Amino acid sequence: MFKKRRMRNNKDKQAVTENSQDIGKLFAKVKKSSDFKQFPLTDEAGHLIISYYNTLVDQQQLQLKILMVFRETPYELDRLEKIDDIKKIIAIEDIVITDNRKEAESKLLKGYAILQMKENDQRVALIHLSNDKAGLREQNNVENEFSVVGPQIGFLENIDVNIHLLRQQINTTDLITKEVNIGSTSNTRVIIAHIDGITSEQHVNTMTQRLQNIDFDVIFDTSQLHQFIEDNSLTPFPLLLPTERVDRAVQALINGQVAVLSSGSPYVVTGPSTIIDYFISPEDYFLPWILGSFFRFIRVCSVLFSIFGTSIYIAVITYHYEMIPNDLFGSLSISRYNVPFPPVLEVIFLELTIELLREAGVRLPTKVGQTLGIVGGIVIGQASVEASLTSNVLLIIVALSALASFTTPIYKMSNTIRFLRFPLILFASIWGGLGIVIGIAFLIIHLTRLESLGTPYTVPFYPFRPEDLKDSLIRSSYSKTSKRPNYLRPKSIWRYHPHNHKKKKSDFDE
Amino acid sequence: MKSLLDERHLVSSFYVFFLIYTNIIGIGIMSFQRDITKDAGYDAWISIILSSISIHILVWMIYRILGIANNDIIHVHKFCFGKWIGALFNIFVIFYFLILALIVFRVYIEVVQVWLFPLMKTWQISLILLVLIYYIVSGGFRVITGMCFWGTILPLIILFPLNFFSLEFADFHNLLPVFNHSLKEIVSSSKAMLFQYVGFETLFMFYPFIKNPDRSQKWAHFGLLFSSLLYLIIALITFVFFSEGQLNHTIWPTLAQMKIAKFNLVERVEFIVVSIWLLLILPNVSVKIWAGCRAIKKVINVKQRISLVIVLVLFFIISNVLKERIQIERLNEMYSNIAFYFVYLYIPFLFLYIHIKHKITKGGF
Repeated sequence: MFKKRRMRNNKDKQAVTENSQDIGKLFAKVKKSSDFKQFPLTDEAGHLIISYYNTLVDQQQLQLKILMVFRETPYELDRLEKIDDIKKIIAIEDIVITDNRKEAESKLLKGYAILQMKENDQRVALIHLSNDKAGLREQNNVENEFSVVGPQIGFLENIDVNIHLLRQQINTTDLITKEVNIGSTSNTRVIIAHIDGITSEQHVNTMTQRLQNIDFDVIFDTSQLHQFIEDNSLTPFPLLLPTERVDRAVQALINGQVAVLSSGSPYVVTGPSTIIDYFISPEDYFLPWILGSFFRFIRVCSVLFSIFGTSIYIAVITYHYEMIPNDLFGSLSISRYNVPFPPVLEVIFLELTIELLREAGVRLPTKVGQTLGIVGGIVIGQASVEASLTSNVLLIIVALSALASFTTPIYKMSNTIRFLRFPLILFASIWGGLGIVIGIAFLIIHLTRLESLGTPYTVPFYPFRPEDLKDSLIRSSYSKTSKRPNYLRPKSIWRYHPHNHKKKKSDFDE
Repeated sequence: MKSLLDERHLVSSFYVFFLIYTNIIGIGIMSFQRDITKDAGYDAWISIILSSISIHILVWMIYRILGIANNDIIHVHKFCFGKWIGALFNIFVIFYFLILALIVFRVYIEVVQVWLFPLMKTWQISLILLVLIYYIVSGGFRVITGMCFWGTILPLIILFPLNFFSLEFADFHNLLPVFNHSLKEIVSSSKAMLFQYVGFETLFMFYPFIKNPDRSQKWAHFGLLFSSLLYLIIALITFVFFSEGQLNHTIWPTLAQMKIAKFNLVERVEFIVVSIWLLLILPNVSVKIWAGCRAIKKVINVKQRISLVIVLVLFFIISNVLKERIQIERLNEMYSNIAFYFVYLYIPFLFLYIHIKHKITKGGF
């Protein structure tokens, strides 16, 4: 059905283009905009007419490279007999000569100027004068995936700069960039990058195929593309990894993943990804492997705590109070003595408060946001305990689990974790400990069913790949991680060859 | 050997370990000690070993049978007994798997009701569990295997060590004197032990779903060995922890001995144990339901998605109808008799029959 509709659309488009083949109709349309300019370059009217959107072109280039040529040295005009000769006169590299109206239109909108020999000439020169950097951010510090050690370079909204950043690190001709234009209105440049000879063709093809199938009007960000191309949209889990860090994207490419960049988005989407990728911070690789592994382990534990903390509290307080040891029971019961609500209401009240604070903190400007954190965290927390709306212990658990959910290096995953808590709270309030395990079972099955670009999401645990475990829950030393992960099916398995120096087995004191 | 199914539905031969393990270890491991000591007393650990050996032989036979057919038992039946009689046998197989799943499912609900929530209605808990099972089985065999994998790893890490806490109160003299019982008593206790191994026959159905099935046999034997070791260790711990008279009055000795464990933060662990047990029960039940539905599909050509829903609705109704423990026990007893004949008589019979038929038809299949 979709195919049919698309075919019909194509036919319609063709019909339109045939009817208004000539450039004149294009000009008639664009002249309605006030920022469109058209004038003859010389004194002779109707001769050498240049047309452009003055908001899209670089004024300086226009003056220096074009106006100067034609207005200050009139003898040049003799050399210009055909439109094709324009390439010899104007010192701009990107000049396209065409009589295709469609191409002229799309190039005009990308900041090219149209030059005609005579009015109503079909064959025109398209001169690249666009001003790519206008209005874009220049600062490319990492903002959301901050790390203490290591480079702080992030991607920008400018796609060419982003590719430049990638090429600086992956300094080989094997880095291939494939460009597709997506978006019927925005006509956004989207680039699929991979390394030839490493990345499995299958991933590149799947990614390209899915991107080409997108039919949408305006692409604002790669996170939108992400939603269109992921394997399963009925999941809270991110199936492709968005990152703003250059080192992270490079690492992904080097391992044999595919990266997607989109013009106007400072985030690069890489895939296929596995669940453990979301707990890996580039900082792990900059620290000694023992510390890196330790912090990674802490991260995973804190995420588990963040998901299950409050639901375990509910289960224990509501149903399984026999589980609480005598020594703990006193303090727990005192803290809950005055609270009139059942634990589940208490938890939902506090969790929602924290979510509210977080959401408000994100929307507010930074300076106000900090104040809000203090007001929310300390004042509301303390006050709600004193008003005996919640218990002290719960306040600690909720605050800790909120804190713990921030330890994931990828923001999208921390959103998922925020969300996962609520179904578990529900299960725990209905079936206690059994409910939590039912929730865990649902979670496990859901994760097992997920796929990212056709690769299982829970690899290397299930399907079990002992070789790939070296860089999952622990970060092994560089001498152990010289191979690329197997599940990405890379074309060459070795990343580098570690030094095979034999361990000296000399006795001490020798 | 070429496989009949699409590559992406298959699981690698390594997972046969987990499939066999989760199919054997289900509900029985909570309560098998009492049944096997009825005849052989505390010599019953010998019968665990004996029955384990016999099952090893049967697994070997199953691999020979399926190796000839290179397909599942449905196909084997059609080949051996023709279309109509074969179909009759196949219908028996369907019921065989589904009733086994039903027993495990219903007994687990009973455990939950006894140990966790005495007032919980059967329909509530069965409803949510069946939704969960639907979610697993509808994911296909790879997802079921994934559940088997996690259902092996997680309970093994969390639950198994809890058994050893009771060794603090162990009396190793309980085991003595050894060989105190006649051979007949030990054999009849082995017969009781057999029911704990029932479930490994699902191999008959999932065999075509294994990549390089001929290479998977060692994993099947490993899985079997591992589960019988687990039975043995738990039985020995129970024997040294409980006296014989005490054991006679304990319905779920494994749970009772795990209860001894105590931690600084957790005073009583049985709530955790019974909850996490669910992770063992789920794959156990879902593999059998999957096997039943797959058999239904092959016999009467009903889509698995439809038959699964029908089977689960039936499960819901029947598990609510079975109200008392006595009913469940009766079903259990009846079933273990049938299972005994199926496993010890029918499998060797099929083994011989298919070999003869294979010879007569000169390898034509």
